Amino acid sequence: MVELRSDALVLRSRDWREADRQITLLTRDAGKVTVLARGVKKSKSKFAALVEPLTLGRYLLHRGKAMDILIQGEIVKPYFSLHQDLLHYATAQYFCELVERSLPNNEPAVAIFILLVAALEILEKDANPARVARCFELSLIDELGFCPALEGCFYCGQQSGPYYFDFAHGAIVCGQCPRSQDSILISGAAVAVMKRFLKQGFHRLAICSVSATVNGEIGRVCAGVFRTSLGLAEIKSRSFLASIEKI
Amino acid sequence: MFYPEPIARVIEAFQKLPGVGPKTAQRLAFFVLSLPREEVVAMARAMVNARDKTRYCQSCGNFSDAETCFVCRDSRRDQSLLCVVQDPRDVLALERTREFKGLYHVLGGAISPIDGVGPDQLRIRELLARTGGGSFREVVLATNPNVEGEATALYIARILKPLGLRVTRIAHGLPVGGDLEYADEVTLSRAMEGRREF
Ligand SMILES: [Zn+2]
Ligand SMILES: [Zn+2]
Repeated sequence: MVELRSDALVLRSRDWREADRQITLLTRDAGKVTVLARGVKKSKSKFAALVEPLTLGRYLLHRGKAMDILIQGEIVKPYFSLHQDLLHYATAQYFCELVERSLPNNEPAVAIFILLVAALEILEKDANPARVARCFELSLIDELGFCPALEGCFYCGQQSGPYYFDFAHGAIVCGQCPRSQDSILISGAAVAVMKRFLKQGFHRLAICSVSATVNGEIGRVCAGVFRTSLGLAEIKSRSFLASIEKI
Repeated sequence: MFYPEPIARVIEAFQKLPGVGPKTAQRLAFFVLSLPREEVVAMARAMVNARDKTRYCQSCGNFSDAETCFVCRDSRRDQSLLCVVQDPRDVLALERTREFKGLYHVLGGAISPIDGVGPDQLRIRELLARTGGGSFREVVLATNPNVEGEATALYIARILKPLGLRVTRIAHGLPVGGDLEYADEVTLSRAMEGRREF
């Protein structure tokens, strides 16, 4: 019997038949896996809390052909505080959806596991979830191999903004050089913050001030990269997040 | 198939029921064949009848056989107390306790953005319309004690609070008759959090 024992985070959890749940785990050692958790909806099940979304745990799985089966596990951290504030919860869900949809099944992705756990840790403490979200988006784009070119204009090297972010090249272009139809205006300030996020990640993020305008600009660039490079046009939890930012 | 076509069709139909595999479906099918004809007809009619006659209460979203359900029709219920639940089955569960004397509002699910279930997919607009009139003094949020249920409660609290309503959440606790040492850590810490004066 092939087993997998790994730390993992529950990205998603769905009802499956009456008493079971089907969960998507991001494991440290085997990447994204789909797991059947039998009987966890019965009130006496010890595993009910273990299969809740946003739970970090240690899992023992029996590796199946179509799906893995949960044998046992223990909770490492249930990320309580992320369930207790709507904006933090929606942001965390958004991270999980991005990861779930951008990774293939059963391909090790240690760096992304570490990135996601770090993002949730920072999110728990940060009063500004939008800032954490932009930093996470850029770091994820970088890890997936689509790091944008931000060192001056793609053609002439021009060092001062404003620029256009051209999705055809995944790079910034100045106002004088040609650009494709699929490009948006971006300020020099936003480019500077993006470079900082890419270089330092979550390190000392709390002292990095990001205005709402700059945050919006970076958000639009990342959404465009997800759309063009990863084929993620509509991200459901992103729309929900946007709707609650308004109330 | 080894069975005559009519029997095979019954077996196939039973397999659509939750928790029924091919073996059980076969057993049920043969049991039905052994019953007197009238009983089989009564059984089939009862199912079709329930399917045709059951609708949702226009006011609260509960199962009903008329425009409004038995709770909404009952004038002795506390008209100023509203309990929000995910599913009509939750109404039945709460009714069995005979503890709650107010009215209900059934959402039809819980918010799960990653699965594409947002406020617009649930009966939240109807809830706002109902509570906007000012006839309720308290709204009890009785969504499930899991991540989606919790998020749904947070969302509703956020949109109802500005209306000046008292919004409460049912307590999270340990199952009666259970053992402390077998409870998972999340349930235990929630129960500890919700402790009260003795
Ligand atoms: Zn240029
Ligand atoms: Zn009703």
